[in-house]
Amino acid sequence: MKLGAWLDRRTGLGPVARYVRDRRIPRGVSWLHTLGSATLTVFVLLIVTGMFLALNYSASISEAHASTTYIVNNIPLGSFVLGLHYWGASAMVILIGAHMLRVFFMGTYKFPREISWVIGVAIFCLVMLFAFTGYLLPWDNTAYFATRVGVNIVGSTPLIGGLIASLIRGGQDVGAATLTHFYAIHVIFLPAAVSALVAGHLFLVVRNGIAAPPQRLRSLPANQGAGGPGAMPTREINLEDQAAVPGESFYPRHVLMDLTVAFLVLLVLCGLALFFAIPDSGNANPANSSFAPRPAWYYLFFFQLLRYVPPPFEVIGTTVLPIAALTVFLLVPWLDRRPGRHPLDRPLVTAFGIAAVIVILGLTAVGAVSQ
Amino acid sequence: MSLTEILTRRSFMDRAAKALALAVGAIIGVPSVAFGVASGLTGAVKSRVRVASFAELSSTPTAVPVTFTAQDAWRQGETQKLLVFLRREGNTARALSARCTHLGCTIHWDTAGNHFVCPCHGSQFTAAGEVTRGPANRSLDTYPVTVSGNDVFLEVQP
Repeated sequence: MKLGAWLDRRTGLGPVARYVRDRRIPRGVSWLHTLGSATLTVFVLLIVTGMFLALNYSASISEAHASTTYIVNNIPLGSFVLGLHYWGASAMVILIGAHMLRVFFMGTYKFPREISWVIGVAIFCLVMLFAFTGYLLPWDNTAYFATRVGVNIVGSTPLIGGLIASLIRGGQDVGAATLTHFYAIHVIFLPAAVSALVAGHLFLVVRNGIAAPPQRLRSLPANQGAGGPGAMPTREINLEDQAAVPGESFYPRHVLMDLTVAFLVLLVLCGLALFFAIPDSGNANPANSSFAPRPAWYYLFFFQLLRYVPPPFEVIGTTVLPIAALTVFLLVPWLDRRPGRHPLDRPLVTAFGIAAVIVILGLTAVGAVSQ
Repeated sequence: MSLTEILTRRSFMDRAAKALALAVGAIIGVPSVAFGVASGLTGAVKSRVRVASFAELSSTPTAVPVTFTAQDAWRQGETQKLLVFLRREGNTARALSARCTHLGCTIHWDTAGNHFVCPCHGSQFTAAGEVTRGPANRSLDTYPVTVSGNDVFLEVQP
């Protein structure tokens, strides 16, 4: 291709692109391996729709709700584009969660992919912050009261909670400065941070390759370990078993699978944006005493959890538990150091993962039903 | 699998991937860009104001002061006032701006001459708003009118 050659002579990117396109991926890489690229697609969708929505959004408490209503009611395609952004946020949480579960249960966070896991956890946390800050922007009653409760949860942290809550809010209560804080965090800080982390994550995906689907340790030839024939496999086995498995190039089959899933996800989002209105609980009224705030569904499990914590121990639910869970989550590659990646080769970790999923889904379900 | 089969399969996947990439790009880009362009064209919001009862109108233009609340995008703005000339034309009505298309002076209806006259430089317009004498070189601006029953509505924007 002439344009390709022209660009290559000036940028030297040709070999890089060919390397990414033609790199070998192991046999057995399945549809489950398309969740990461689907997440990336939705992230790009959120960035693009968000940039255009920002053209008509006013981050001022007297105008935020009116400008959102204006986008929905007055601008052609406004409700559709806002719908894509709104439903896309939920899709992002679901896809990133599913992607992490796939990685967790296939044990792909092990050597040499520990950094990918840590970056992934960081992206996940920032996505939850994205969701939290974006939730406030329409400035309706749900947004206002849910944010007030959310920030107060942070505020219940001993010693520094009050200070952190004030920093987040930009004052003593949710108000004008909170909205500008959340807006700036949502559209400047977080996109910059997540984009950089995604770049790092993708670099490592290419650098370390895609892990082969896990096999039982006992089915692997014993001499695949670093210790020579007959030796017990070591932690480094993951890199080696991948090299040992013959595969195919990334393009075109796996790219086609990635694109198929991305396309289907986008079709679903288009359907949701077309046929389901975005809820609007009216311009936020801080004096409204009858409004019962509800968090977004992806925070519902946490909301429900806090109901079970007796008041004297509230700090355990609001601070200790989340920080402990996050730390364990982040340190998974160093807590599970044995060589096997197959779920049955690490029953404790697998059981722990399944239990966590059941607890989170269960709390979400109970929270949803008790509405 | 023969070499031809492999090549066919590969070129099919190659084409399918390119088509899907285009579709994914289109879903992500097109609505947003179209929305962005549309928002540039939306700007000030038109207000629909009832200005007269249809029965009172005749083929002779009548000056009608119109009061409406201007809206700038999502902001409710100041109350604005506007002078229009309304004229019955069969089953519908025409609303003419009272501003001369030359330099914007307010025109008035000259009953004797059966035309509009601009007091500043003498431009003249017919009852339908067409320019008959300069220096104005185009017809009077009109406002979209809808007649619903006996009510005449005007679409105005600041």
